[in-house]
Amino acid sequence: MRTGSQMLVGLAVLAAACSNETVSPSSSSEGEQAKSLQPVALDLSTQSIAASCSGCHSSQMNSALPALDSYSGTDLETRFLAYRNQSEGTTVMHRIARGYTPEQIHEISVYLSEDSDD
Amino acid sequence: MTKTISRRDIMILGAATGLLGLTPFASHAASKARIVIIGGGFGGATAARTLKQLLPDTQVTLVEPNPVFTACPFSNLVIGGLRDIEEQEFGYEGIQKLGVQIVAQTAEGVDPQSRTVTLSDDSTLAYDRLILSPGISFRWNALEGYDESAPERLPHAWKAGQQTLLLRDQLQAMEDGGVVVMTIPPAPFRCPPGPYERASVIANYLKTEKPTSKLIMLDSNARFSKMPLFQEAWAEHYPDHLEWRSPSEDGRVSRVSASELTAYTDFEDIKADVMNVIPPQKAGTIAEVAGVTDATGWCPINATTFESTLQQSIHVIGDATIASPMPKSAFSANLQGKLCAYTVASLISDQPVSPTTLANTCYSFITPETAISVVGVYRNDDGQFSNVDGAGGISPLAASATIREQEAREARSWFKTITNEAFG
Repeated sequence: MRTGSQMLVGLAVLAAACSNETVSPSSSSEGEQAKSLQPVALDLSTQSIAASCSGCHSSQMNSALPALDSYSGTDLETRFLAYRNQSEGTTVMHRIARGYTPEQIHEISVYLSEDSDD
Repeated sequence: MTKTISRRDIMILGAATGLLGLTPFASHAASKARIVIIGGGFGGATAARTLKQLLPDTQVTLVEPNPVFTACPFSNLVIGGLRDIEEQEFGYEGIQKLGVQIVAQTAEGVDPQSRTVTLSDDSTLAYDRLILSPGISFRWNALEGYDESAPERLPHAWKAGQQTLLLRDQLQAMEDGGVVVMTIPPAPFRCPPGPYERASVIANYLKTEKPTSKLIMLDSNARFSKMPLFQEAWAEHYPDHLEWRSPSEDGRVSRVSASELTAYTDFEDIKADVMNVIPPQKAGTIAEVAGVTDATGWCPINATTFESTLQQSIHVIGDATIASPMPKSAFSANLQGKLCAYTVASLISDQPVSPTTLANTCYSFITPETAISVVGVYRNDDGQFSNVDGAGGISPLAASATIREQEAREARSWFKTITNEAFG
């Protein structure tokens, strides 16, 4: 992923999150948090590209604008891509989705669904 | 946990921080940094909230003299008698609870060399990074006859609050058969579709409550935001209650008189019963004081970092910026507030900032239950904003009422989201 890899190189910082648990990039394949003081990649590029979404979408379920964190990443990506690829579509989301690449749509969808795990 | 941890997962390990989904991080440099934000509107309030969630150990100060913010989006509905002003009002308690220090003073000076802000009580605030979200100010007398005292008689209602209520009350007090005049300055101004939404809502009020009255729009612009959609709606809903005059139709106003309630064009003196003057605008006053405005009166910025191109360590967001093709909208200000917070967090942690893709959505009401929209998608590579080709655009023309009603529902949901994003 273009922007992701750029940021991983660039944004390695010492994270001191509230849990005091950090992981180094090399431990990511282990699938669990590792207590460590190694530099952590802080990928604000993904947060940045997803930042536009929260201008309209919140977690409120009774909204005319769906709560994105109620969808799985795969479901979000499928829907987002469908908006992008329906050339006759005229809704706000059709007009927005055409501005994003499939790679960006994947990145945003995975990120927003990850948020829903928190 | 069923999925394997990807590289992206790393950034969300640690504390979850609520709706914004941000990950706090800190470095030694970041925790000692002092960040000052001037202006508690959609841009500044969002930047303050986002920064504090991202950097819980960093001192984040928001300078805002007003205890209550009155939102401009949806304030046209208040003018049209369709909404209470209370629904437009937001306090800073939510931001304060996060740990942002609120300083209820007016920022009167900025010294970029010593990196200090002087407040109205003569105290000073030191900063490492300053974010200005100053909104707009009016160019008094740029339209002859429209000075600081004129809004009492000729409300602008372009900053929401008492002015919004004054225009509403004048419309309600007007006799049926009256003439309402709205003057529109040359672009750029805050909320490009705002005058035309307001015209729609006022025309709706006249049609409903004062059916022999009429609104005359005197426009300095030949083209405007969502123009074909507004014109379609006006022809359908308000043919007898709204007249739009372009510059070529003698729409350009050269002078107004508060005492005579008259707008003067090249060829005509138009007497009004109620006159709404949308004044020529520039960046909020503190921007000029800080030296971040250029000859246009607006603020040139590096679009990737939101840093002023004129002063180091000062970032500018929202309506005050030169960000075209991004419009001067609440959505833009909110998004720029988030992105500027990420930028400042990165810079004080000695991390680079990457360009991204940005979107904007603006809804406008054309009747109480129907709305239209415009969307843009942008990039901010190499310090410049640009449109993403093939994306964006306006609602379909000749659409069904169902589509227009759906966009009105979306607009109402958007307002709830965007105000919650900014104020909590």
